[in-house]
Amino acid sequence: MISSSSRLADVINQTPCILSVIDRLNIRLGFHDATIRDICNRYGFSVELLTSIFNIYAHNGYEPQIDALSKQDILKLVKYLQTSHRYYSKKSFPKLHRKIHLLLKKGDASNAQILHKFYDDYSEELAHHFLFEETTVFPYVKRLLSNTVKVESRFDIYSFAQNHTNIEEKLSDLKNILLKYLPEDYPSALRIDLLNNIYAIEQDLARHTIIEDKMLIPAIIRLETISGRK
Amino acid sequence: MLKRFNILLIEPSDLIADGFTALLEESGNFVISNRLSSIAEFNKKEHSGTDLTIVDTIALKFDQYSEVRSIIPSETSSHIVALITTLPNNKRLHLFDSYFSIWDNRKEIIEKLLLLFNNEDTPDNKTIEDRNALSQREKEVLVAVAAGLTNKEIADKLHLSIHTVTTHRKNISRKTGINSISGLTVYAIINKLVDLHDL
Repeated sequence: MISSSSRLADVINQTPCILSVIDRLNIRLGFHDATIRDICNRYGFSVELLTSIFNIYAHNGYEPQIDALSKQDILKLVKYLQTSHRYYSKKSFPKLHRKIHLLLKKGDASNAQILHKFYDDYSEELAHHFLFEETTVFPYVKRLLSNTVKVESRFDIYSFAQNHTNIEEKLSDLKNILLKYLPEDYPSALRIDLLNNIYAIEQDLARHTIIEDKMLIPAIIRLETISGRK
Repeated sequence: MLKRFNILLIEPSDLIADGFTALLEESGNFVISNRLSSIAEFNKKEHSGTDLTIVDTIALKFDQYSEVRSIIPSETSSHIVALITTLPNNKRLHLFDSYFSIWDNRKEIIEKLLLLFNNEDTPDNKTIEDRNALSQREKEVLVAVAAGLTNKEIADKLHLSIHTVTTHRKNISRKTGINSISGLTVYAIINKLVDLHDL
């Protein structure tokens, strides 16, 4: 388990996908032998917040302790999630889209047409989901933190979690289509590159979802209870 | 599909047994070849060659649920299905190949029983690829899903119950690894089950 005395370099060497997490947390590389505690002191995170996020990435089935999170932590968590959304929608997915485009040019036109449509619908759904979080969920959390919530501005966090399932389901469908069902005549190198890309995004998004479902949502419920709303 | 399957019915109530016999025999697919009032009357030799045993869960003591397969071995009866006439022990129903309740309608009961015989080929002499190939019926359901039909519409069009359509859809997703409707549409087009212009 990653703890306050773990060295960040060891953490990343063991779980390389954390590299993109620290980028989104705005932690710069070149940190020598800094421990998680050192990093927290330097960047103003609590040890609980950072180890929770890192452990979600490093250990399947890890259950974060949200009781240890302060209001300050929850604000930082929201900021991290916002940065992640920007990262997905400005970097990961456009890159994926370019590769899909390149690959589909090499084959049957009707396959290309239907797969482009599938991908466009998926991007739209994703954008819609992110937008909902940006315009509804995150502002709601901020209002809860500053005690300025009106009763009628509540939203249904359970339908929010269902949305996550749909998004992961479609990405997994895309992966299986490219892996199993697109005919053999597409160039392998492009196809493998694209699949590797999807595996990475899939893993990252799954962890992102756990952070929202197991840290953000319980934090919201706890804040609602504190403010006597539920 | 005109093979008639032999059924052994273990049912203490005459009323239910007679009603059930009439309902099944009317379908033309099943014959009740034996009816017992309790599981104690079961005899491996006498009842061998049964295609399907239907047991009213009321005829089973709590500890008999887990032994039902050893009391009625698969050499004697290839499938065992639970008939639910009272509140059952839900945790134990997975020990049966299938189950239905007296509140299911005629169509649902017949379809649930026929589904058992749909994949009769034993897994051993089929490759994984064969087992994962879609059946003709599943392809029809898939094409209808790709065309944007709802489960209700598919049920009406193909003369199935909604329950059966849902079962087919689950099997399609399990076999293909594709769950979303739009993903299944892509699958249907890539595999030339439908033409893009027909959608």
